[in-house]
Amino acid sequence: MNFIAELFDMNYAHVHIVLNHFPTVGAAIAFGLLMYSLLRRHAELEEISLVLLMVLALLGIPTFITGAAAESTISVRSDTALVEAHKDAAVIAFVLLALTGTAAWLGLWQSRRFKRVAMWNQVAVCGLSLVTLIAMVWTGTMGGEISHVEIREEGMVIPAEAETGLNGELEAWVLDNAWVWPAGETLHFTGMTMLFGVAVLVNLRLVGLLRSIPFRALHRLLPIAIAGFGISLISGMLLFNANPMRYIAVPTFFLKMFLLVVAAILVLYVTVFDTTWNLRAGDKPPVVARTIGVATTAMWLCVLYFGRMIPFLE
Amino acid sequence: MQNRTVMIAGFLAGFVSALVWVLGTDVFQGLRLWLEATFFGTFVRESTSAFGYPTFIVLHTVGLAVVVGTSTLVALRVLGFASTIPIAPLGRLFPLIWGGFAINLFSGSGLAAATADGQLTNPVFTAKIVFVVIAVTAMFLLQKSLFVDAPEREPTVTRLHRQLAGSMVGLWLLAMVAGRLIAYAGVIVGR
Repeated sequence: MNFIAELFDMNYAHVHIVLNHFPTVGAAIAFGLLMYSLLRRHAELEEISLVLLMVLALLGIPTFITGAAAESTISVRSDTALVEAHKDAAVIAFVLLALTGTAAWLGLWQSRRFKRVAMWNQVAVCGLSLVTLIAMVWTGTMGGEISHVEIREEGMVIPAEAETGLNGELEAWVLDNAWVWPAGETLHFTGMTMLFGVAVLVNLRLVGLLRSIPFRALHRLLPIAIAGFGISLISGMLLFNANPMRYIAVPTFFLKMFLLVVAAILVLYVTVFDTTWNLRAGDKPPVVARTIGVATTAMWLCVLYFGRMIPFLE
Repeated sequence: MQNRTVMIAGFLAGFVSALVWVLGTDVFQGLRLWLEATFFGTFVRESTSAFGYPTFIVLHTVGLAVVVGTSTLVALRVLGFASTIPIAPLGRLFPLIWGGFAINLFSGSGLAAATADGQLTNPVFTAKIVFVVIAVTAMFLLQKSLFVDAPEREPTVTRLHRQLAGSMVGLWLLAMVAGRLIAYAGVIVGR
């Protein structure tokens, strides 16, 4: 996202302020839409709110990253305790949003495969999106008070020194235990391999190879990709969070994150759209499918490249 | 699958594993240092061009993703997961898988030659190579027994196929863990 920032002459704090409205305001809209669709038993609207939750979870990634980067631009301030508290809240909100997005995706996957979303999944998405919304409002309010002194409660006292909150403990846990870093990296690679393998198979079918496999059969593999993505996301964020400045200093790190979010189009395309689902054995894929297949393969390769290059570009 | 194929594959796997272990002994220090001094080893270690050490690392990661990611899905299918996927067309994935393996054989050789003395005497490295060799052998035997006899017909999965598929997935996991831990051998075995 640094190239976007340069284009508009913005720093990471600006980008964070633009991005943070998506998960916060978005969570409110998606939750409202989901409740309405469930009460009115409107299946299409329910699907739209699930897609919205999934997209918001993806946008949570750059929001979190730019937030950590924004801290470096406002380091000379007296209210760092408030920034620390905001970070603690953000970690919780991010994890909850990621879980909500995953549950929403599973709902979409189920509705395709079994024609309906399982009851337990509906309950899980409702509960998770409500808790996420609460965490987002909490995080967002604190974030707002960082940049707007005038909306702070009258007489609000901010301690001079930040307490070691959740974020500090998490950081210490990763850095103080010698095994956490190698374990995190190994998990990051394992998750990547799961995601990449499924992406290869799905994209081969999308570009017109392996035509004798009906797409519905490959649809069964998608949870492996999402599980892999989840493993890589959690392990990656854990490592990022322990030493954000190291990653922010790498110019291509933001490009990797940007490509990662865009490449997720593939997941959306093969989960939501009828075109792929209806590709039977022998069917020729349409141009859109071929384009997405080629483009996302290139993007995932770039993600791999920029990810593995991090230690050499510091 | 012919008995001869199994015997040759098994012999090669044992030979390569033993070779990697032997090359790590004191007797072969001269050979290890020679490997480091070869053009290939020196280039990977010292080149500041766009094709130096980082590129070899990236190639190794891409190859890993292709080989392990794709072959694991074939193995899962053989084990009964996603049973609506026809097995026969999956045989067409193997040129891609072997292509990925060729990339990793090349990039891995470069990385190993670059710091041959440190790598070959590292027990985590030796363990990784042994895991990879057995996994690749299982993959080769799975391919030969499932796909080569009648490429178009849907093959019948036997117990042998499932055993090969299961051990391959387990060995890939071990190889991946060991591979990542090579860099941390200092913490693990006090090197």
